[in-house]
Amino acid sequence: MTGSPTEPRRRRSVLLALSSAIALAVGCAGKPPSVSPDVLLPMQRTAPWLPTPVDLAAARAAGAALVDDRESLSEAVGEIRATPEDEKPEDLDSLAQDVVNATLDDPRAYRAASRSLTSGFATDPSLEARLDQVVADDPLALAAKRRRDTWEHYWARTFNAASKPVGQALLSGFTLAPMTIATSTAHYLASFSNDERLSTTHRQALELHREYLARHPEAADAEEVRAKIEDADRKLTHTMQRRRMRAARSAADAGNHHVARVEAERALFWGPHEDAESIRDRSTRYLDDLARLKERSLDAHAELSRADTLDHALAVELLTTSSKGASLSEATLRSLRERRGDAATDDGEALFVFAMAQKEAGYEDESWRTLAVLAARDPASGNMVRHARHLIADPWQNPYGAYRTMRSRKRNEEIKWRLFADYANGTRYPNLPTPVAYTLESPGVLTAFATSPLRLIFGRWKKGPDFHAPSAVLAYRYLGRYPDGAHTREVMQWLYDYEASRGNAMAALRLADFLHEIDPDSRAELAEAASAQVLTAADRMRRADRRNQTLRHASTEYPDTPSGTLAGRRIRWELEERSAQQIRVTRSFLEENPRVAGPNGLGINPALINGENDDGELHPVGVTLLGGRELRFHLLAESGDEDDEPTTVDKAVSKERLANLASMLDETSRRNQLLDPDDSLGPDADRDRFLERARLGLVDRTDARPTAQSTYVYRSMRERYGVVRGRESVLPFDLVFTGNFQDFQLGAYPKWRPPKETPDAFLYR
Amino acid sequence: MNPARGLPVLLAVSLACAAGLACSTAKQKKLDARYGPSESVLEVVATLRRHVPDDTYRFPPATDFTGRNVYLSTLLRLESIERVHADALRSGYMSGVLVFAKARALERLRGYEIAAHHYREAARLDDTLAEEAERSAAVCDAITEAIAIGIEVVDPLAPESETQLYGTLLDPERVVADLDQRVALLSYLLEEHEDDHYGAVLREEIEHADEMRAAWFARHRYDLPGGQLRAVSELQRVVSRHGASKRRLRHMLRLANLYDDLAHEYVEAVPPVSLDFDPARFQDLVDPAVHLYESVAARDGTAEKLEATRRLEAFLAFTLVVDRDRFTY
Repeated sequence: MTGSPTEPRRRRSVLLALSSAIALAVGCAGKPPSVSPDVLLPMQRTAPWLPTPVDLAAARAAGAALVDDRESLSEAVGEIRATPEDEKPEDLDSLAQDVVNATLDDPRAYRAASRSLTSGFATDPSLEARLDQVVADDPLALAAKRRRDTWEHYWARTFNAASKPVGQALLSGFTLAPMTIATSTAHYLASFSNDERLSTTHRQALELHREYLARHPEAADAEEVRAKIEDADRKLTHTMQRRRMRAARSAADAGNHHVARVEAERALFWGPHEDAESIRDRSTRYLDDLARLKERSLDAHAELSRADTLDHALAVELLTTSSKGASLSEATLRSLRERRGDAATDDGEALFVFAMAQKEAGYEDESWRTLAVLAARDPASGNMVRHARHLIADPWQNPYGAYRTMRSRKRNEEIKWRLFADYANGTRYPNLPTPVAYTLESPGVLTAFATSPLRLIFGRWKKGPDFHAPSAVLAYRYLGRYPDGAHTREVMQWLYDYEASRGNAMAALRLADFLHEIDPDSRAELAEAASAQVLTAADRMRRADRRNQTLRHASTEYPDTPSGTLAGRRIRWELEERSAQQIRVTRSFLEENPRVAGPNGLGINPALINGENDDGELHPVGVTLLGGRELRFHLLAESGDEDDEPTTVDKAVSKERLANLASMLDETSRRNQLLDPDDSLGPDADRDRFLERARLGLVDRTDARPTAQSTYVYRSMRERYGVVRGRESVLPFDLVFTGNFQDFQLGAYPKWRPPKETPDAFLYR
Repeated sequence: MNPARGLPVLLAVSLACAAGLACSTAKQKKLDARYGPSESVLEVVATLRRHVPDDTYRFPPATDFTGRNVYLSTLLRLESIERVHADALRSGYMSGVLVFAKARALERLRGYEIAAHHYREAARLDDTLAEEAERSAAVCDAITEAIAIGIEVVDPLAPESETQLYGTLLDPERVVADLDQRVALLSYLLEEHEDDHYGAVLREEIEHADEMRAAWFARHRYDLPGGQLRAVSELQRVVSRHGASKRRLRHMLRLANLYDDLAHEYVEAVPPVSLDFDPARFQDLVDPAVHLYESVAARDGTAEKLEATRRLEAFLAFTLVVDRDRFTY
C-alpha cells in the first residue's frame, strides 16, 4: 500500500544507478580486466515527500479499522474511491476494501468478501495470493477437499486396475488379455481388504469438521456437520479397534501374552469389544497361571533329595571358591566325573557343577557340551535340567550359542528373501484368508522365484535389508563378555567381514587391528576409508563446533591418510575463516531481484552484476553476510574465469544499509514465495532472527554461538530449476511403459496420479 | 443307533478323550518339572555359585529360569528351604552353607549389613567356611561403613522423605565432600579386591554414589546458583566416568531427559511467540537431547533402545509446537 507511491521514485533511482554504472563501464572499457574497487554505491538520502490527500485517507482508514470505528472507516474508504484513478496507486481500492472486509467479525463473511474481491481484475498479485490463502482457509471447504481426496484415491485405483490390462493387451496382443484382466480385477478387489474403514484423508476431514463446529456451533449447517462427525467417529472407533485387535491376535498367536493383553486393553479403550475382552481374559489367565507357577518354583520341596556329607563338602567348596571363581579340588572333580555319567544317581548337580568347572578352567566348548547333555535329559529326571536349558537359551549367558543360532536364522531369512523377494514375509493381503491371499499372489510368487537368479546377479549392487545386524549385536556381546574366549578370533573375523561389507570402515579397522592379520596396504586402504567416513559425517553436521570436533577426530585418529590431512586443513580453514553468520545471496539472485541489489536494498555497484568482466564482476557465489555489519563480496578472479577461486572483499556497512538489505531481502523473498510456490523460502530460524535484528539495527554485538549461525543461501529460480523449470503435467495421469517377467508382456497405459498428501497427514495416522 | 456301528465310534471318542487327557497331563507334568519347587540345597548353591564371579558392573545380573534376578531368587529359595525344613536342618550340618549362600546373594542386592551378619553366623556354624566367611564379613562391614557416609536415595513416597531432602538442601559442598569420601573409601577397597567378586560390587557402589550426586544436583538445580549448568555437568560426569557400566545407556538417557526437561521449561518460561525467545538457546538444548536419544536408540538389543526411540519421537513432536521461524530442525 505505502510502497506504491514510492515505486516510481525507486525505479528512477535504479535507472540512475544503472546509467551511472553504464557510464562507468563505458569509461573503463579500454582498461584491462580488474576488480572493481567500489563494491557499493553511496547511500542515497531519501527525497523529502509530502503525503497526498489519498495517502492521508488510507492512513485514516487503517486507523479506523484498528479501533473498529466503522463510520470513519467508510468515510475514508469513500474518499479513496472518489479519488480519480490517476491520483492514487492502482490497487489502493482493493486494499481499502480488504481493510473494510477485515473488520467483519464472522470469518465466513470475511472469506466470502475476500472471494468477491479476488474475482475482479487488476488486483495486485501478492494481494490476490494472500486473499486466495484466506479463501482457502475454510474448514468446510478443506474437509470437502479431503473427502474428495479419499474418493480420488479409490478412483485412481479403479482407473489403474482397468487401464493397465487394457494397455498391455493393446501392445502385446489380446491372447493373454482375459487372464490379465482377471488377475488385475482380483488384485483390485483384494486391495480393499487393506483399507481401513476411515482413511487418513477422512480423518483429516473429521478434525476439520470438528474445528468448524467448535467455531460456529450455531451455524445453519451445524446439524449436518454434527451428523458427519458422528458417522466418522463410529468409523474411527471401528478402525482403531480393528488395528489393535489385529495386533492383539497376532501377539496371542505368537504366545506373547503380555503384548496381547495390552493390545486388547487398547482396543477396549475405543469401546466394548467381545473378542478384545476374550483375548484380554485369556491372556490374563495365562499370565496369572504362569506367575503362580513361577512363585511355586521359589518354594522348597517337601522332601529334600539328598543331604549327605558329600553334598555338604561340595557346597562348602563351591561357596569358598566362589569369590574368585577358583578351580575346584582334584578330589571333587574326580567325584563329579564319576557321578556325572550316571543319570540314576545324579540329579544333574554333578553335571551342572562339572560344566561350571570346565568353563572356569577355560574349556568353553566342553562346558556348553556338558550342559547340552544335561539339558537333553527328561526335565522330570532332575531340577538341574531347567537350569541347564535356561543357561543355553539365555543370550547373555551363552552369547556365542545365541550368535550361531541367530546367524543361521538370519541366513535362512536372507535365502528366503533372495528367492521370493518381497513375498518372503507373506502376501500383500494379510487381512484375507491365507489360502485366498496366496492363490492371488501365486503368479507373483512364482515369478519372483523364477527370476531369483537374475536378482542374485544384478541385485548385488542394490542395497538390501541388513539381515545380520542382530547377529552382530550378539557377536559384540560375546567379545565383551569373553574377550579371551575360544571363539574370539572366529567372531572377530566374521564381524570384520560384516562391517567391511556394510561400509563401516571405522569398525572394520578397529577389528582388523585386533586381528593382526591384515597386510599394510589393505590396512592403509581401510584407514583411508575410515577417515573418509568421518569426513563425510563431518560434512553432514550443520553446527560448526560439532563439525570441528569430528574433523579433529579424523585428523588425530588417522593422521597418515589423505582424508586425515584434509580434515586437519579443514579445521585450520574453519578456524581462520569462521564467521558468526554464513547467509549468502548469489549473484544470480541479485540479478533476478534488482530490488534487493538496488539502492533501496544492498546498493551494490551495478557494474558488478552487469555481466561485463571488464569493469569487475561479482562471482556467482555472490555476497555473504558474515554477522555483525560485515559483508563479504566474492568477486571474479582476475582471470575472469568463474571456475577460479573468487577474490574476496570484506566490507563493514552502515546499520542503515544492512537494515535496508535485510528488509528488502526478506520482503522480496516472501513476496516471491507468495507469487510462486516453487520459489519457496526454506525455513531457517537463525536467518530470520539475524535479519530481524539487522532490520532493527541491533547488530553491533555479534552472536558467535554455533547454534545461532545460519548457512542459508538465497538462490535464483534459474539456479534452483535451470533454464526450463520442470512442471507437473496438467494431465491427471502419467503415461507408463512396463514390461514384466510374469507373462513377458509389454504395456503402455495411463496411470492416474493419486492426490498428494498434505504436509500434516502424518498427524492423522 | 446300530450297536455294530456305534462301538467303533464310542471307541474312537474314548481314545480321543484319553489322548487329550494324556496330552494335558504331559503338559502339566512338563510345567511341573520346569517350575517345581527346589529339591536340594545343592541345586540352589550350584546355581548361585555359577553367577557369583559375574561382573555385574559391566553386564546385567543373570536371571534364573523364571526370568527373575538370580541372586534374589536364590535368596528366596534358600529362605523357603530354611522355613520348610527347619526340623531337618536343626542338626545344623547345612546351616552354615545356607547362611553363607544367603550372604553371597544379599551382598548383590545391596544388603551388606545383613550379609555381614550372615557371614559371621556362617563362620560360627561351620568351621570349613569360617575363613572365607570372616573375610567376606569384613568386606561387607567396610562397604556398609562407606555407604553410610553422605546422602542416600530417598523414597519419594516415604512420609519422612521431605525432611531428609531439605536437610541437605543448601549445602552442595557437604554433599560433594561426603560422597567424595565415600568414593575414596570404596576405591581403596576396590584396589584390594580387584580380583574377586567384590570388584564388581564395589564398582557398582561407586557408580551408585556418582549417580546419587548427579541426581541430587539435578533435583536442586533451581535452588543453587548456576544449578542448571551444574546438573548437566554432573550427569555428564556420570556418563563419562561409567562408560563401561551396564547402566551407561541409562545414564545417557538421564542426561537426555534433563536437556528435554530444560527445553520444555525454557519454552514455558519464554514462549516461542514472545520477543525474548532465542532460537539459538533453544537449539542448544535440542541438539544434545536429540543426539543422546539417537545414540541410545541406535543400540540394538537393549530395553533402553525402545525408551529412547519413543522419547525422541515425543521430543521431536514437542518441537513441532514451535513455529519454524523460531526453531528449525
